Amino acid sequence: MPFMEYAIHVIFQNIAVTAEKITAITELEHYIASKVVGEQHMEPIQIGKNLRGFLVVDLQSNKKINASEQEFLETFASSLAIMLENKFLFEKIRNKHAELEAILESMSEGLMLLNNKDEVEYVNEYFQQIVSSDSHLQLVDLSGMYKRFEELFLIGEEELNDFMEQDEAELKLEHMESSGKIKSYMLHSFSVVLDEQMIGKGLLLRDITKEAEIDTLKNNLISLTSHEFKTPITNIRGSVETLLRTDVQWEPEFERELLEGVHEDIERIQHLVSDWMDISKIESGSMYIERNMIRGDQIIEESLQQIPKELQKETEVTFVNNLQEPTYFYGDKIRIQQVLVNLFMNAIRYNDELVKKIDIVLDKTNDHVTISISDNGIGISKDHIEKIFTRFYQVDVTATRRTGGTGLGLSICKGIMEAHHGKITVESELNKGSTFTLLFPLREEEE
Amino acid sequence: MKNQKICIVDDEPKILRFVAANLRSMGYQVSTASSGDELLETYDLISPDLILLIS
Repeated sequence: MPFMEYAIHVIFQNIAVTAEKITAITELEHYIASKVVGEQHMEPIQIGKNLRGFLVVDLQSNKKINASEQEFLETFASSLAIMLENKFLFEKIRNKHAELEAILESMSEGLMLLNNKDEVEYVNEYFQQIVSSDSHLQLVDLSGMYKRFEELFLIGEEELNDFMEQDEAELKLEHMESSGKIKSYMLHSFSVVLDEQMIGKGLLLRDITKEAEIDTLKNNLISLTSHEFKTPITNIRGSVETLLRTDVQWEPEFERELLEGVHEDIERIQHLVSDWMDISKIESGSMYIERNMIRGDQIIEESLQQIPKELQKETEVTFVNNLQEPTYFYGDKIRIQQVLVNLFMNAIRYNDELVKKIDIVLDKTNDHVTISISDNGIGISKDHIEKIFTRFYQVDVTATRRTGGTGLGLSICKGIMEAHHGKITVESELNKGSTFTLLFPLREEEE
Repeated sequence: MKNQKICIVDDEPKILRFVAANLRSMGYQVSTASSGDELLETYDLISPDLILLIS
């Protein structure tokens, strides 16, 4: 009998396996020298072109192996290699699969896969969250999904059917949350194709609430500004045409009134245009500022001078300077004045009191010089307060016309403060008043 | 002097001013209202022959 007395060692990477035990090895030669007693026969275990180990036969008392035994060992070694290779591949695929699964589960878009029988093959966490947020229903098939979609997005079955019948389609959905907030979603459908065979359908659900909100605001703003420009232009044109009439002799007083109106409206258009240019500078990131040394109390005094005389009459300003010594910070004088004047004007404009109060406090914290401006105006409700600095946002579209603002002021203030590496914050209570606080960094960050 | 009465409605006083002046110069009797509500309030009092809503 061949191999009556022998021992087999399978050495693979840094592990040696015998019938008795498994040993971790560091050096192959050392292991063989110490464990193998007789003549050894070594058969390589190769995966692809990589040598990964040896099948070692310790012939002990036998001196030789014959050709058929040799052939058997070769086959055995290559079978071992294939087995090991399969295991490696399997593990690799399993890891890859777990990785893909993790990606699908943690991505911030909803994904659902349906097989050709319209059964749900897969739903990721995000999809599940959106679709079954208020009921713990599991999505098992298409009809279940239809039902949830009809409830959530108030969409008809017919429309959903039309959508699903197309190979690739998009559907905009809206859902009103219990808080009254509207969430917008875009549903994309696509075919899942494997080896030229359609194996199912995929649905991708994307939250587009932010984009949709900005879209609406932009549209509002465009129609608002067209109107903002139209009114003064209509007046300028009408007034000038009236004055140009040669068939009438107007009262000099009336002529002067018209000219003053034209003058006001030209100023108004200039104001609109410069606000728009500031907005576009901020949007494109090119709001550059000149860095001068600014003294807080001085810039406040100077900005107060810029409030128009007729408004100063009905306004009561108090200024408290909590800084013991003159404190300087870096900033663009003209831009900071623009911010301050804007806040002063808002405090006066959005104020129905007979005496409009503005309380200014100059102070500092460890890292910032702070200027806070409080008023006794109409205040801002909680719904609006988060959004007042948002570009394209206005609390009340008609209010700007009444007060003569462009409605862009606060987003410009925010842009200017950010260009200074500073901040603007607000606290407010409806019908009591608002406090805006500006924070300027005390020390220039290393750049 | 024509005897027709025209009521002009717009929320922008400057526009009311020059439109009113031009119509008066053509001999009409002109009244103005800054809103639809104001027009309705004074409608019976004025009973205009023509209402000019400026949009």
